[in-house]
This record gives sequence, C-alpha cells and structure tokens, in this order.
Amino acid sequence: MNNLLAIILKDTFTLAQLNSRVRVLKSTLLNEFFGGSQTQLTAGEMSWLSSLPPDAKSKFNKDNVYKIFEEIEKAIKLLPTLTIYLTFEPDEPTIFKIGSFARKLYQPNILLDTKIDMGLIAGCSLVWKGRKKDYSLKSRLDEKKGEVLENFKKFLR
Amino acid sequence: MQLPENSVILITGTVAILASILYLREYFLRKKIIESQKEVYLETKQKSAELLAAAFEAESEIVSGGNWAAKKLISEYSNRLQNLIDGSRDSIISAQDQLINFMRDLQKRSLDFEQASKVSTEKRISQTFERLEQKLSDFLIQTEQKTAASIELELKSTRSLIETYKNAQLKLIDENIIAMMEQTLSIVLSKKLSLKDQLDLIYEALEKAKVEKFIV
Repeated sequence: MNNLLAIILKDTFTLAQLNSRVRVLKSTLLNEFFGGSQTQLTAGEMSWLSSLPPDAKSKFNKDNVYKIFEEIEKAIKLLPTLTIYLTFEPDEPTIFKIGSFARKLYQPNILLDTKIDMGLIAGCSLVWKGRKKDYSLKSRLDEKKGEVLENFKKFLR
Repeated sequence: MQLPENSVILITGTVAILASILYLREYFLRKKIIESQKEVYLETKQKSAELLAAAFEAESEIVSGGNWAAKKLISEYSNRLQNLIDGSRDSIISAQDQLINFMRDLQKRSLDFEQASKVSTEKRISQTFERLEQKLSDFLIQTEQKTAASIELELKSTRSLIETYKNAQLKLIDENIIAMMEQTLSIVLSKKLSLKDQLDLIYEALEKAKVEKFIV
C-alpha cells in the first residue's frame, strides 16, 4: 500500500490532485472488478492512469480493493500538508516546480494545498500546522508602511 | 201585741205637735240671728266709713308733709350733686392734664425710639449692603475664575478633539494611500511580473520559512 502511495506521490504534489487521482484509480478498479457505469475521465486522468507501472494495479483484487483504498485514504490524512496562498492560478508544470522544490527543501512526501489570495500582490503566504506566515509583497509593504508613506509624501512635495 | 187605734192616733198627734213646736222655735231662732247679723254689718259698715275718712285725713296730712320733705331733700341732693360735679370737674381736669402730660411724654419717647430705631436700621442696612457688596465681589471673582478655567478646559478639549480628528484623518489618508499603492502594485505586477519572477518569490519564501524554522 505504501509502495502504491509512493508511486502516486512521485508526480502528485497537491492534496486536491492526490484525492482526485486516488478517486480515479479506485473508480477504474471498481469498474474492472465489479462492472457498472464508468465515470467519464479527462485526457489528463487517462494519461496519468496509463503512466502507472503495471505492477501497481496487479496487487488489487476483488477482495482487497476496498481495504487497500481505505488504508490509502487513512495514510493521506497523515501526510504533511503545506497550505500555500498564491496570487495566481498555477498550472500543473508550475505546481510540479513548486512541489519539487518544497520536497527537496523539506520532506519527500510533503503535499501542497494551493489557494488563491490576490490581496497578497506578489509572493506567497504559508500555513503550517495551523500557523500562518506571510511572505508576500503586501506583508513587506505593511512592515515598511511608514517608510513608504514618507517617501511617497516626499515624492508628492 | 196590738195597741188600740186611739193610742196610735194620740201618739201621732203628739209627735206632730212637738215637731211643729220645734220647727217654730228653730224658725224664730234663725230669724233672730239674721237680724243680729244685720245689725253687726251696719255697725261694721259705719265704723269702716269712719276709719276711711280718718285715713283720708291722715293721708292728706302725710302728703302735704311729704312734699315739703321731698323739696328739701331734692335741694340737699342738688347742692351735694353740684359739689360733687364741681369736685369731679377738677378731678377730670387734673386727670386730663396728667393724660396730656403722659401723652406728650409718650410722644417724646416714641420720637426718641423712632430716631434710635432709624439710626440702628440705617446702620444695619449699611452693614448689610457692605456684606452684600463683598459677597457679590467674591462671587464675581470666583465666577470669573471658574469661567476662565472652564473656557481653558473647553479650549483644551477642543484642541484635543481637533488633534484626534486630524490624526484620524491623516491615518485614513495614509491608509488610503497604502491601499491605492497596493491596488496599483497588484494590477501592475499581475501584468508585468513573469512566472519565473513569481516562482522566484515563492522559492525565496519557502527558503526563508526553512531558515526561520517555520516549517520543520
């Protein structure tokens, strides 16, 4: 199970992406084992499914599929998650870059939970284990508000 | 027992004769009494007339004597009364003089008292006015001081209020300037900042978080 999660996490960097991919895999396997209507998959999802190594799916059978996914969902809840507020909507390559950088810097299994806050102007703010730290341009402006105002007033004169 | 009829007649006749005798005796006896009473009456009447005449005579004498005595008495009373009136007149004149003197004395005393009262009242009024003047002066001074203090306090409060308002307005202006700058920066940077620059800023933030040990 841990091996499968490690395989999924290799190219999955956000919590939303991970949940989505686990849901897609589970849906596909359940459809294979028990039949029923298959949810329509996007091109990206199909591409990701086909990129999985063959032995990743070979461990599943009708008897253990529910149990394995239950354990995976439990393990996901225990993964370290860093919430990151950005000023733009990141695409997959950007997420890949940020995620890779974060995993190099901190832990190899760290997950990102990306959110948008346009008020930050530029940069980002981070939330880790319930604590928030603002590293954005707005935060820097607030820190140097007096100085900025003074310069601005000088400029006006 | 039966009496003979003649005896009855005899007894009855005797009784009748005796009764007639007794009646006659009574009749004459009464007649005699009445006549004697008449005589007494006449005698009494005559004596009464005599007494009445004597009484009239005595009365006339008494009345004539009484008039003289009354005149004498009136004369005496008149004299005495005149004396008494004369004496009373003197007494009244004397009392009147005394009363006039008393009234004069009373008038004099009243004038003295009035004068003294007037002086005393004037003195009191004067003192009262002096006190009133002093109190009024003190009150005016105190009021002036209080008013000055109150105005000073009011001015201070107003200055403070103006200062607070000025600071609030300046703070509001500063906040507006900052908000305007932030908004301008946000618009400009969202267009001008490249993805690479954005990523650099994010990498920088992540590294800084590690250095600050925010993420362990």
